[in-house]
Amino acid sequence: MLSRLAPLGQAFAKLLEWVALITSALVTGLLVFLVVGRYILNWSIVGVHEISLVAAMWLYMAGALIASRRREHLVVDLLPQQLTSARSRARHQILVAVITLVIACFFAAWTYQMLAWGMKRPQTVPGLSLPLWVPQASLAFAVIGCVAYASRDVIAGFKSLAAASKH
Amino acid sequence: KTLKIATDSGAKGSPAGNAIEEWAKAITEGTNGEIDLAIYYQNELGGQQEVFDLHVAGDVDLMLNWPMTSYDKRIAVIYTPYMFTTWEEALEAYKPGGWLNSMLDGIYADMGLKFFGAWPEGFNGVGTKGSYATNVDAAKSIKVRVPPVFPFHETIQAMGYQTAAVDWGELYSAIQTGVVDGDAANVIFYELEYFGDILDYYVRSKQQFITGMLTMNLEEWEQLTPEQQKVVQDAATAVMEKQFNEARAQDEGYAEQWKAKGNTYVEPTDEELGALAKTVREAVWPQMENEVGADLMQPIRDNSAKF
Amino acid sequence: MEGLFGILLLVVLLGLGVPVAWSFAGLVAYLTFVYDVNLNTLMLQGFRSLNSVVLLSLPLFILAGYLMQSGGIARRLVEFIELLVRGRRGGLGASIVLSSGIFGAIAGTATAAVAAIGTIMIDPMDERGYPRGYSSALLGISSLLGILIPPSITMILFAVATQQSVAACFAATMGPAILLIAGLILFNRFVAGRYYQEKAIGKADQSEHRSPTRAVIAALPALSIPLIILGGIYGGVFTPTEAAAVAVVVALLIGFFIYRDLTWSRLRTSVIAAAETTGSIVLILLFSFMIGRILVAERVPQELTELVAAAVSNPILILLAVNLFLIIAGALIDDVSVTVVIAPLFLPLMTSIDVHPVHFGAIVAASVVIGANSPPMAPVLYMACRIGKVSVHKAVGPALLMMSLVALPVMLVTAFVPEVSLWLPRTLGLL
Ligand code: NA
Ligand code: NA
Repeated sequence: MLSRLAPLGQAFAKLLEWVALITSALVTGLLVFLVVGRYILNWSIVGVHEISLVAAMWLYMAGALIASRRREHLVVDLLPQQLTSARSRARHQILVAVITLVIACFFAAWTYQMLAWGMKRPQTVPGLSLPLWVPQASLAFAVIGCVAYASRDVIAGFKSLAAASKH
Repeated sequence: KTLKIATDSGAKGSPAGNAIEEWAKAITEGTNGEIDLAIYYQNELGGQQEVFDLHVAGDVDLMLNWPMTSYDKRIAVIYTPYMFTTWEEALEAYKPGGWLNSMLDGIYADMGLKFFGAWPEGFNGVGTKGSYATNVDAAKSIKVRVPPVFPFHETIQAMGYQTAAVDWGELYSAIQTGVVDGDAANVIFYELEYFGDILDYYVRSKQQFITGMLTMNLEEWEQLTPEQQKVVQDAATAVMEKQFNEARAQDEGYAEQWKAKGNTYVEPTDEELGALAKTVREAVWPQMENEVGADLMQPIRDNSAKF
Repeated sequence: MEGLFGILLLVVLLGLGVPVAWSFAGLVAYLTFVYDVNLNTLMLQGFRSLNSVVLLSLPLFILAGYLMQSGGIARRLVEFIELLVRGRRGGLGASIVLSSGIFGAIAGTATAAVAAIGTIMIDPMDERGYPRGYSSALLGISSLLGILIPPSITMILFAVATQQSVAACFAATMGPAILLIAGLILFNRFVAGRYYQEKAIGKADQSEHRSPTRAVIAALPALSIPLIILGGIYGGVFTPTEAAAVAVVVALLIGFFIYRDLTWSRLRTSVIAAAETTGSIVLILLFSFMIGRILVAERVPQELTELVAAAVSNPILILLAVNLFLIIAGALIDDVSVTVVIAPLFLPLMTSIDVHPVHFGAIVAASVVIGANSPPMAPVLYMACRIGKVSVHKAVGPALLMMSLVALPVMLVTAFVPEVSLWLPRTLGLL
């Protein structure tokens, strides 16, 4: 099943990288523009901070997903280092992935509730009149990715357990 | 039961902090202890926007808040520049039954909030370091920070100043190091409280009349018995009336403290104010019409001060 | 009781090897069951906490750090420092400390210095007889100069969480930074003899027989970066947040046009790596902020303050207790969480004994130097060992020795001598 999803996974990884590249450029460019505008040109444009914040929120969430994809989130790895056999390592991998998946589902529920309440009481970003769900949608994006990557890790864990049991 | 009451601008012991304490005390006493209040001061529950979110969502039941425009941009009507030039006009408009009070009642109800009334602070102005301005030409060389809320930026620009977007959290050091020359759009209390040591001038240009609002989450309000509702409303009215009586003297006291610090306090002449008001109204009111709608601007045109 | 279960849950999740961010999210989930939390606004509050202009400097200073490395700026700095200390006893050790310090004036995190300086210096040090465990530990602790010398992500987070001036917090950790530099250099020279015998001239020195003048000239653009950043901030050209964006642009320009080490593909890799680092920090931040909000709404900090104040009345004992608590918390959880959850928890207690919030910020920063290197949660030490290609248990011994003989005394001096942290911000007129 994982192999059939692989092209999709790669396309998503590319998307994450492009989001990171574009939003990094936006945040840097807008803040430098603010300095140049104020210090040299005596310009003031409404909403530069607000647009930077929208871009930054998407940068944060794309970055968090890149870390999930590469399994680079910070962990205390004292226990994993004690595990020597392939089987116990696979079991540990499954356990951590399942816990992560459950917690990611909570994250999904909270984000859903935020968006649902936002539909009831819609807001805009002051100074821009941009709907608040535009930056908030980055959290939904993160939720979907986190649940997907946690599921991937669960399946990968079972696969390595099966492989370890064969030997 | 226990309700939560908060203010977004004022620590314990500040006038706003004392106001919610008095409101809370009057409610507890008036209901013979049926309603108890947990009090939260500025920043205890997060930033200004966060606490207002909690209020709209019903996590904070009662609030003395400085209005946010994120839920309904029509709130911006209260920042219409040069709507009033004297305290009397402002108090007349904001008092229960006043023309602006009734207008706000409906807007707040649409946000899910019960509106009780205003808690005024006074006219705002521009605090600066190094130099100051009382007319459009003199303002052109001065760069000031404006809050990211319509129509502050538009108003201050119409007054001639260069404007800059600086986060409130970075404003002290931005003024101190010279990134900007000052802070626009606050009443003198905040300039004194936060920047009294680094600013030199406060020009009371009176472009807006700044007030907090006493509100309650509408769903919580509807859960109260009629007797309890009366207690809450009466307590709010008492707090409001007290502030109406005291605000002006408080504001003048802050101006005295400002001078006592060695800073300069400037009141533009009537001619200067008239010229500013004319220019700013011409530039900003049409933009206000686009943002909040002509039907809301009409009563303002009808009722606001003549020059 | 609920609190104890919460802490227990967190420790179990962390101990099992669940990523820190998800362990914190797990704690949030637990708290939503124990306390009366409105789920409509829970995530909205987390979102608002991240939606901060001051926080924009986090991704940018991290990106600047990666660009220093890929653009060859870090390498020129190290070569320049080595020139200064060549031939002196403990010279290479001192140069890792000084390079971290100068790099710290450019980058906002500790990990940037670990990656940049570690990849360049640990191999030559090995050749000169420094054991890898020792150099990795020295690197791990020196790299924390990145958060003591401004710009500093830790101080930005502290300022955001406690509503203090970023510029004042930046200035407050300079004193502790100088103490740490001096302490580590002295330690390296006098105490470390039992760890290594420095070889007089190794291959490293011979291969680097370039003209000193050239090394100095090559380092000038790199050395100009801290001047541009700090000069710009304190000279009124830009705010600390904007400085981060300027740092990125300056690093890009130097990397592309002066050193010409930067290529489009390296730039791409650096931006994505920086986004990944940012994202992993932000996810921890998000859930930490949510925990903080729930605890404050439940009045936990206020009750904690009353509890401690009732048990201990002597200000010196309170200060000692808080220092101890910060060290223990730092061993168990990461520096970001200590800064945005634990520190604001104790702030009311600190102000009640007349510790200025900015002074407390410096104490927290000094505690992070220890915390980031104390197992079990020692991300900086782990990373230094990964870069130094050595197993963690070989570095733990020297790391603990450096912390007890240098970092801990620095923290205590910072805590009990307010002038160390407050003198500079006062002199600059920031307080
Ligand atoms: Na730094
Ligand atoms: Na630690």
